[in-house]
Amino acid sequence: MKVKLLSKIDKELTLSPTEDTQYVLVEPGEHNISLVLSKEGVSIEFINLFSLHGKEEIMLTTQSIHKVPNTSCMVSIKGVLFDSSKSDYVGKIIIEKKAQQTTSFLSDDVLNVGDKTKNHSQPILEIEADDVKASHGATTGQVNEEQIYYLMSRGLSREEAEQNIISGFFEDALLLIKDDKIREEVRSQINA
Amino acid sequence: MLTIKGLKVDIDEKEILKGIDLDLEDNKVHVLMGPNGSGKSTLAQALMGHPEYVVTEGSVFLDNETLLELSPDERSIAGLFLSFQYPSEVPGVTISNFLRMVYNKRHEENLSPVRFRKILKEKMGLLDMDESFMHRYLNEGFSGGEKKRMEILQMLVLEPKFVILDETDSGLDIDALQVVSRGLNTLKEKTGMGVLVITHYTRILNYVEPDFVHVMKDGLIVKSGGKDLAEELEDQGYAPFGE
Amino acid sequence: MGRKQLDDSYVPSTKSSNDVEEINSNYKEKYGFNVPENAIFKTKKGLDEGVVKQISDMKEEPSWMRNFRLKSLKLYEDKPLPNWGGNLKDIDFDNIYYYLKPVEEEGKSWEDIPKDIKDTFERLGVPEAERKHLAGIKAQFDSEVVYGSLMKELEDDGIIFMGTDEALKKHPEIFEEYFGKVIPPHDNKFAALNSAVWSGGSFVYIPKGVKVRRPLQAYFRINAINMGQFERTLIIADEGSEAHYVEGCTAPVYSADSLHSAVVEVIVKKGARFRYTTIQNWSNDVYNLVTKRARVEEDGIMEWVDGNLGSKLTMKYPSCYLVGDRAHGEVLSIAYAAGGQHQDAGAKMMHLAPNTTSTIISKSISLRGGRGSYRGLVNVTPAAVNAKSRVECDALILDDISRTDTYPVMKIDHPSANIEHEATVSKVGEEKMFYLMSRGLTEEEAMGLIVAGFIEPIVKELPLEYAVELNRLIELEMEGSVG
Repeated sequence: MKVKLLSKIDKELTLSPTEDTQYVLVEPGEHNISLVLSKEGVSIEFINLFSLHGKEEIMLTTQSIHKVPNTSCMVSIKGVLFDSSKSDYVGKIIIEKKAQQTTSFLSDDVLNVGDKTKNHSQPILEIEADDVKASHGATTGQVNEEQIYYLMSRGLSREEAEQNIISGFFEDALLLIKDDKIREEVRSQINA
Repeated sequence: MLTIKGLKVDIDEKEILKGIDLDLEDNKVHVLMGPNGSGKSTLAQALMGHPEYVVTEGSVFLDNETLLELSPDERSIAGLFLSFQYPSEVPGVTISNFLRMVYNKRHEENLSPVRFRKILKEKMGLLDMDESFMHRYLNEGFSGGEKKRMEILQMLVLEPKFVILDETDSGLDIDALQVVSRGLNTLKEKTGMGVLVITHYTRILNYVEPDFVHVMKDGLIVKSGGKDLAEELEDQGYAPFGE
Repeated sequence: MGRKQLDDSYVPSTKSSNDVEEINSNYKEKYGFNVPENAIFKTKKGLDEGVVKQISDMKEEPSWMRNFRLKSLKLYEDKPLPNWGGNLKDIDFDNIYYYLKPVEEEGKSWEDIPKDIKDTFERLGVPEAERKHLAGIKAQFDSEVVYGSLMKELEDDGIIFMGTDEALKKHPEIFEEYFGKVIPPHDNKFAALNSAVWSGGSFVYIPKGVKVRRPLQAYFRINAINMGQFERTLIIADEGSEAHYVEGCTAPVYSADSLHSAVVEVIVKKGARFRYTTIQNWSNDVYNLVTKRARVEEDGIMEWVDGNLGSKLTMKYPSCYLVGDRAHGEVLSIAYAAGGQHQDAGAKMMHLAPNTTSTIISKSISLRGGRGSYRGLVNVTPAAVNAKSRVECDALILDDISRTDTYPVMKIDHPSANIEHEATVSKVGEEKMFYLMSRGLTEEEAMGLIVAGFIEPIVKELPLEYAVELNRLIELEMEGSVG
């Protein structure tokens, strides 16, 4: 699977690969990204990780558009909001009538660490084919106090405990990145 | 009696079974063994009428009824039962509801829930199954062993004419294996049904007495024999058959 | 509120029929439902100030209500049609009678009713007493006898349960205090319409601390069938009270009216608990646009159980405004969309106070070209510290000409919120079908069982008779849906 780290991209972007590709996006800002599955057998993975501070905002729309049979698409959005940052995410999965045997998943998980954060999420499904597997999940929550307490009881300060938990939060998304170099780059960007 | 003649089966246009002949009499236990990929499960699924398995040649008769033209439910009503290797989960459908439905159909009766539950309790007792199982949803959240026991419970409820067990023993511990075998043997004694046990290991044969043993490889039956063939396999594995 | 197990009374039918599909269409022809012109009073077609004044005069309403209606009419005229949801372009607003009052119930005799209609009632297990009403025949039983004793029980506990028109006259103080407060006329175009021309509906008041044992339903299984297009329901569950209100019927119901726009307002006061269950199965030419909302105060619990089976287009999003600490709102919804139907249903939860919780479970089935959509909103406002919400919407799509959509919105404006949302779309798997058929079930029976299993988590929350009827209805619908 090809892995591409998206950087300095246009606000509107259409990605329609002809082979299995994994896209990784770490930049905040405003983006509208269309992932178009127009060749049979292709699979796309899209991973967006963000860590926003101060008044940073991310406005992201992704559309997984399945036009032909037998494609798959997985979108994973994971972010941590500090201070008064905001995230606004619209994730569409559109499966057209011809696109039988489609598999399409979307997950959107946000961890609220700041005390003035705002998080809007709209995962949308528009399905016209019946032989498909499609699902989406979204969660928003805080750092678990039980976990903090546990880590602090092993000698970590509160900040260290929090940092650990946040790294852990990103970890399973990071492990999805299939290119070591890119993964490390993303890991350092996120933990900055 | 289940008679299979010259059965050839394709999956995705690839020939898996290349001409199977078997005469499986009532009251006898036939065992089908073979290495993985030999086509054992294919035979089981094709006999039951799985939509993905295409029969290209051959015939199958259950007593005097030709099976190949029948849909899976018609084959069930004709008296064939398959204990699945991977039984499906059907959420929201309770076991007692489901079993009463299939029981009433098979036996052409109309038992009330209360009366059926009595019968069900008795059969569950035979398999050391706790009553509370009745209220669970069909196979949902069941361990592998629980699913296999559920298959055997269904067999006891349906009282079929011929039973195929597709790797029922895999994933069962000794206790479960004993219980399942007890269920099988009790029913066979009661009804005289024929049995085809498909398995990779000989363990189950300690509890279910085989009358005939067949070895399958690459979609064909390469050797048939009696109980001693099973012992041979236990000692030598499938190597003598060119694994 | 008591969970019922389906086990004991679910007897699947093994008969087969091809007539079911016809039953819900061609109602007019089949019945020849016709009320002679002079047997009813109606305002002229279309809607204007004159019509609204006439309605208010006929009802002899106090002037505040008259003014309320007129103000609402203005709001209705000013608002545009919504540009989301279903297709409303075919509604001919000028061709509708906005007020009908039957003077006498004329109708056919039981013998004239077609056999397959009678058979449906038989198979659905609809009680004898109700069949004739459903068939539009003049009531041939004495409702006083059947329901009289039930009404006495309620009276003894101080419960008020009557038609909204009557309540306006008999309990004006309560009415004025609560009416139009949960859903003000400017809320949306159809709330404005209803506020202008409302007629009928129920008024329920449960006094402090009273826990009603029986669901408030029997009365409405009959009256609801004859209900008008613009029902207005107002329910107040006073502090610490508990009650369950049930309306509707699973049997397909013929309606002369093509537009139903009801408004339901519920107030759940401190520590009270209320459940409102609706099963709707309007005939396939009805537009069913309903605004239902509950205001839930401190420690209050509101549960909406919503079954949408019929109508050409339903747009309905039961909602809860959680205004008090620890208030809880729940919506359990089933939508069934067959050919020609669009069920645009969902839920809205507004978290407006600390420690509030909400749950939305939606199950939708689309088949034969139907379209099932889920539209929802979970809004956690900045005042709502520690909000928790869980949304689960699952869709089952049974063939390749049907469609399903999910449009959930989560607006979370407080960082302490804990929100979970999950949606899945699936079709009935070939493996599952094969497995069930290998136990002797026909294709239709297997499909019916899987669909019944799919909606099971919600069906088990329904009163037993509804659950049984609903399962049988699904069975009937499955026949002829396969192959």
